Amino acid sequence: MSESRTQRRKRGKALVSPLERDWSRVVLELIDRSPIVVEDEAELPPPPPPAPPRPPALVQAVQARMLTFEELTAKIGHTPHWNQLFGKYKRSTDYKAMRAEITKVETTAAKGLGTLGDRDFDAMATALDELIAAAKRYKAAHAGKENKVGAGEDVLASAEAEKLALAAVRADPAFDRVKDHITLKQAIECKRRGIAFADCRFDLYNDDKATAVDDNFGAGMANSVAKITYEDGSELVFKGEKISDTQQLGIASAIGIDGGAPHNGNRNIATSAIAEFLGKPEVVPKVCYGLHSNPLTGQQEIGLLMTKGAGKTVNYKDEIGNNKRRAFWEPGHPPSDDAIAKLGEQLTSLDWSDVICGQQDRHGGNLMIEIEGDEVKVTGIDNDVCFGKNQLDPNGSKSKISSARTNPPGMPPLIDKKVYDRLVAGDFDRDLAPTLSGLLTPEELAAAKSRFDLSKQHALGLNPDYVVADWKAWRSPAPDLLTAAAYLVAAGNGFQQNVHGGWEPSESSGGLFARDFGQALRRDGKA
Amino acid sequence: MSGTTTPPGETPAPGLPSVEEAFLLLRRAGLRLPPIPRELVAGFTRTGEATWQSGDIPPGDLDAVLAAGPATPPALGFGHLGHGTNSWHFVYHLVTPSLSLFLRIPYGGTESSDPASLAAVNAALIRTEELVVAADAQAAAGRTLVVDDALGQSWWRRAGSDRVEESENPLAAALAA
Repeated sequence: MSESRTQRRKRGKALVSPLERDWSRVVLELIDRSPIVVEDEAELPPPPPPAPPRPPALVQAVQARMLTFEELTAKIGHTPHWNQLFGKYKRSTDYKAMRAEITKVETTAAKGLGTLGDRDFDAMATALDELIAAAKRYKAAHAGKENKVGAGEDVLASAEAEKLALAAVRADPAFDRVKDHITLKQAIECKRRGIAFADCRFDLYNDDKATAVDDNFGAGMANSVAKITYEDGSELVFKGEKISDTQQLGIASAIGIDGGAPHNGNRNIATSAIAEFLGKPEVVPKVCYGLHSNPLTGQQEIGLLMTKGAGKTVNYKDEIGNNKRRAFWEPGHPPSDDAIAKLGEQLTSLDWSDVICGQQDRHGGNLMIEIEGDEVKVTGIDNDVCFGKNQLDPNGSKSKISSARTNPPGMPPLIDKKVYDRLVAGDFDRDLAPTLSGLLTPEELAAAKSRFDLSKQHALGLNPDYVVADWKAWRSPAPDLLTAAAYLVAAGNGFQQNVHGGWEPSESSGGLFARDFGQALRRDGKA
Repeated sequence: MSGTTTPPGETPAPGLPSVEEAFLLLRRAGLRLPPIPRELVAGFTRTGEATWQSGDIPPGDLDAVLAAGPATPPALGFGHLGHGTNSWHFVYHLVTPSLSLFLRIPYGGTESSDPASLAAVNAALIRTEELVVAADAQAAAGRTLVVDDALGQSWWRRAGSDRVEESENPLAAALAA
């Protein structure tokens, strides 16, 4: 990265490295106690606010009942001094042997992929075999010492995984596409994340091609997302790709996503493939893998690059803590009929893509909308929780699976003509399996085929009355003659009144359009 | 309280050392330490990259909080959880004999890394302190239930009532009742 680019880079503020470290760092940290909290040059957020003035009795009651921020502030009040426990350990012979093998592996792995011949790959495989043997000896020598056995097991598991990954690197048919842009270590990291080289654009999207970087675009204690502008003018969002997800969402495990190998990037790419197949690629981000250096470690990481969704998310929380559905227009000033038609078309098309993908996470924070005049852009983002192997039914993204339902219930009640034509003419094995098989496990692929076929049956059942060629002119069958907007809203927002007068989840709805815009459109006489 | 903490890279011991670590990491992120009932301090421990808990319910597990019955032992959990670019939340739950509370507030995603998002989290944590006291005062009537969930519904149910009340801000509504 050039100096000028470095200067334009905004440093990240994440407190803890967002990515799982590679095995050598894991073991070195276990033994050498390297810091996980990185003191970087980031601009810190403002300090947390104190509690507001309270009646003395309340202050007393809070203090008696709980340990609070105020109490900790009073007692600590300054940044602590880390206990000095670094270094000065007597190393065992077995530790030194294991460490020597790690160094040998790292030396080979640091070489550029394109510079390696068959002999180098064989040498790497041999070095990994020797590391596996050294790790086994280390474990055996420290039997009964939990920490050291654990460290040995970590090295063993990682070395074995890397050996498998090494074979996958050599076998990838798109090897030539990446070989001049990454090291062997990075190639192995790709394979440990289930990444096919065909989905990588390391040539276009690396830090040498970046003209501006904002590492603080999305950041919290355990998350870091960068916004990067490249020489070709594209502005993309970069999210490092994890090997595993140790704190998986309950719904992700419920639909059968393996937390040990979630391959979230691949799920986003598969989602993009479905939307493209349906003729609506614009309703989800364009995605590929790229390289970007982690602001905390300085190391280049592999991650998913996505086009940034236009507009704003549907849901947000205001400063005083109220949950809000965003008002995309002022009351009494609804969008034009053209815009409403486009909103219906795009949101319903996203519904169709979501049911085929088995999307489980289309809450209002994962849906971005921009309405400007007659133009509308709908983008479904964060397509990680989908393509579960357990979900055979496209109508399964419902409370049947989890109480934390985030998708509108039911199959879409309308279908865009273009989506319909593509879907009913489509054959999963012919049109989608060749692309998806490199992204999903065989079980996930089988589940996707089931959802696809059932979605197709549902689409055929909607023909001809509910296939919409013109979203502005379409009317529901007589006698109702509802507009598309009114028809979707009438289909419900996903809730129904129960016998007690309260609300409970329903089993059908008018999809995202009705859930997120039904109330405002009805208020303004558009539905 | 020592003013020192465990070496970087190590997990501190359960109890006060873990509380201290949580306080420092949260403060550096601009977040208040969520209230920790004193009976839950001893079992308090770090469970993930940025998550802590005391008791058997892991952070973010709404179903477990909703399933808590009269015999469920007290439990606390909080931290930063999520996936992707914008699906990130600060989660907090507390189950005591007088209160079941679940918060899932947008924080640390591409649309929630601004001062307003921090303010919303901190405001909720301040209200939570007061709600714990208020719920204790109603303990004889039963358990107050409050769910403020950015991924689902936001509602509350007063102690001794079967009636669910939806609210844009169930914490504030429960406190005002």
